[in-house]
Amino acid sequence: MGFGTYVTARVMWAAVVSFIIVTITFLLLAAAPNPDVQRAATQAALQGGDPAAAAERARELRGLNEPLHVRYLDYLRSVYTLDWGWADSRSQPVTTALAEGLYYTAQYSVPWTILTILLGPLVGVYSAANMYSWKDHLATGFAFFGYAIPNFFFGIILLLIFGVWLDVIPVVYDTSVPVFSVANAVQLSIPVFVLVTGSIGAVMRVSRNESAEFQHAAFMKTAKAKGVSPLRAYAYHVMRPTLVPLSTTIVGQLLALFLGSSLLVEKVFGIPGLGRVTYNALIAQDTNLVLGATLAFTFIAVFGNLIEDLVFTVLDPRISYDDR
Amino acid sequence: MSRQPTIGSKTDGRVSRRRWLSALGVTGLSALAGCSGEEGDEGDTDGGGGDGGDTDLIIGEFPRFGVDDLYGETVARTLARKAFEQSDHDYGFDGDDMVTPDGNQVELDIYHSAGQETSQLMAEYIGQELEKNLGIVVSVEAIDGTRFNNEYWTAEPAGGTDTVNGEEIEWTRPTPQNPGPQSVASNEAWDMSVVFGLNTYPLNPLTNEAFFDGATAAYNPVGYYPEFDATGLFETARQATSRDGLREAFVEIFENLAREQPYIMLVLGDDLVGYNPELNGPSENFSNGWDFPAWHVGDPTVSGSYDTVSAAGFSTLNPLYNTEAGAGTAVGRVLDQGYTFDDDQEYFPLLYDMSTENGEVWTFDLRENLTFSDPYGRVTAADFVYLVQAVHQSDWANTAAALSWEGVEVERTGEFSFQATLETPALLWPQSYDPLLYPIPRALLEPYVESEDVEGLQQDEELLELQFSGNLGAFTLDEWNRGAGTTYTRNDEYYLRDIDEGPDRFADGPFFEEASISVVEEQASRLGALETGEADAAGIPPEQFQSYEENEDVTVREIPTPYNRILSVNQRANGWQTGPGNPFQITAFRQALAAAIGKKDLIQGIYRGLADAHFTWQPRWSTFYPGEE
Repeated sequence: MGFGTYVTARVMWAAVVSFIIVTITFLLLAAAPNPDVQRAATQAALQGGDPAAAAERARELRGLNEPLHVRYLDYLRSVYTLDWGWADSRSQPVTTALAEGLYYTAQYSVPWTILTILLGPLVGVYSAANMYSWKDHLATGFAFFGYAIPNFFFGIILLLIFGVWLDVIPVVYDTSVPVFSVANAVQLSIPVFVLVTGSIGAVMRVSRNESAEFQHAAFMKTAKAKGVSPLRAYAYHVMRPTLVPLSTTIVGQLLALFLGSSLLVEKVFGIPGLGRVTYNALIAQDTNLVLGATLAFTFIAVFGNLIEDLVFTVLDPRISYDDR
Repeated sequence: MSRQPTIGSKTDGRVSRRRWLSALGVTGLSALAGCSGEEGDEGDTDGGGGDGGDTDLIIGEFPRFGVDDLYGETVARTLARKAFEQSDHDYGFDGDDMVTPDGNQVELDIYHSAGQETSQLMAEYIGQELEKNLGIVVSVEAIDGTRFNNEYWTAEPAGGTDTVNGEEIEWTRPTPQNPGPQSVASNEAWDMSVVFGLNTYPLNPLTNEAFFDGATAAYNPVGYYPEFDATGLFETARQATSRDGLREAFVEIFENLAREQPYIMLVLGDDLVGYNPELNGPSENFSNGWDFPAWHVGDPTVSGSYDTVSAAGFSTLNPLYNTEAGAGTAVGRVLDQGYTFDDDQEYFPLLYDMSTENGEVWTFDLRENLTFSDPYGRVTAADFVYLVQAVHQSDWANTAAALSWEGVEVERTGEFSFQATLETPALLWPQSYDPLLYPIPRALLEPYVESEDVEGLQQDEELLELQFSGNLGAFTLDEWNRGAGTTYTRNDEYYLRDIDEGPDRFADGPFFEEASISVVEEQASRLGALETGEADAAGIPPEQFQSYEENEDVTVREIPTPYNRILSVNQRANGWQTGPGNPFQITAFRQALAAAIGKKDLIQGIYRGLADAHFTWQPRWSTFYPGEE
């Protein structure tokens, strides 16, 4: 199988996976009682009306009396045409709500991801090269500190120090400043720092241990014997094989971190991003928005896995297409 | 332990009950726990707790449980013994311990809101007090408020009948909060809870009929059966045609509630708000904020920005559908409602004045200088009448104010006046907030009314963004960022500048160029913003009162609230899991609990002095609070 065929097959597989997830979501939703219908029935009962009739009317209004397959097709059409409904908890369309959230999340998550991916392996390889020296211990200590301290707590402490005591960053996140401006960079510096310290630890440790394997490998001895500079030896010969197992860790972990840590950090710093949109939708039982967010994260995860598999084959030519 | 019925103790019981009766006077007759019980052959309990002391106990017309004479081990145990005399089961004291008929020490659980420090401290304090004064072992448990509401506090409405006060009563309209008689209970069993507090409605106490209008009241999760004629007294209050008649009825209700302790009333909390110290205007009054257009920083000149923070985002700013207080404030910056209440809790007309002869027919007189934004023109009586008749009273729109206008007949009487006729007279109608209307242009509503399009009305952009606000508010809305909050610009045309009533400063208000409400979910961040001056006002948690009181960058105001902190005791079938029967159903036992929990220590220790003792279902500053004896 050639590279082109492999990519095509992999992309199609991703589409199938997304389709299966979307279908399962539909079945779960169809099986669950609709809160709107229950609410209508309760209200009718409170006002002395007929709960059964009110429930029936509510079902009719929402098209729930249609046969399952009709609703399924309708649902599929809506999902893939991005007609995701109205978010009651925010009084705006679901897609707008998600886009707004993503807009603010991207502003800190892009620098966060880039810094983690750049700094993590660098520090790791550096640690491995100076293994058990004080530099290694310092880097390891830093990594473990960032990994161990809860993001939200670290965030509050830094906000207290830099926002309240030193007064160098604003406490209330200002959405009115332009994306590419000094003011925005300043107000995002602490959240990004907190997130990077939180995520860099794992990446750094994995790359340290992985690269430790390679620095005494035969190809390194050869490279050194041939007079390759230490920089090239580490940056090229050690880094590349290290990145293969790392890439699985990075994509998987960052996706998991995305929702989890970003919610807490968004809460502390008042950033109206995707984590808060999703969390508040759950709290407010805003079914449309919860579903929309679920689908969005599903698509991101499927897409992330796709990219990861493709990157694999580029990084390590030994990985064959045929087995997959 | 054993119980030995003896003639002597039985007689003692009678004597003490008669003394009570004479102390209570006529109104207290039906309220007295002891006199409604059958004279069975129950005896007193023996045991180390002793059997003396109870004959001197006098509970007045308006008892104040938990302070002075009505606080402590002796009075609590005396009342508990009274309760046990009326119980069908052999509860009693063994040494210091309260014991079940099986001889085990009574063990109860108490739930508090998970993650809320004050709630937890209060539960722990109650546990200590009940152990010390009544010998009850209390286990304190945390629970999420929503979960408590769904599984413990509410139940499937089942209805049924039961004998209450000697009368056969039927639950004809059961609700989740009062699903039926005491035999109808929630999914999960529970004994006691401090998870929820309730409103005491001091401006319009009639609203409290939702809690106490007989055993079948709409909201009665604990299954309380009044032993006084609550239904009759609320009816008297409803029919009253004078303030005095009204007060008389309410005072009687509140005296009875003080005696019966349907919920064990503990404290009424103050709201603590930190302000920019240079801000002139905030007052320690329930109506704080009513005169916001006169608030200013330093000299009364227009300058700067008034920035506040909110703990939660707004789900809608559509005035027709909003039910959240926070969003109400955000809308209020842009759009005034009909009226408000001033520092003396007196009616103050904003958009319209209201008057009545007998409480049945109310006349609304609009100001004549009100205009919507283009193209909607002047605000007239037709807009309000249309809003009420075609929207609030429709069967499709289901607005937030729909229930307020049920059964009210509205009629336009002039270009700037209309009148409303109520089904039953209500002297306190404005105080119920029911006749509070937002001005909405008729032309904006008409298309939705014609097609009965409720979703369209909810999602209308002009309503959501308040684009029609004209000169009807202090500011105009610049932007509503769903996650981040709202920003405003001063409205130079504000109608309030041209009115005769109110503070002179209204003529130049508001005194800020801009305003904003930022959504900051993290409390530490909100407080940080207050300290750095990024926010001009923010709520302060009681445990940080001291540090902010000493902070020069913040002025703290204690604003009284009508919201209470109560100990709810489950009088339904699944309450009192420790043994047979349910002593919570016995008034004297609830009195014992109320007497066992010291209010002074609670206020000083947990609320740092920032709360008032709560004896009956009204705050002390209410005009309907029973008078001092």
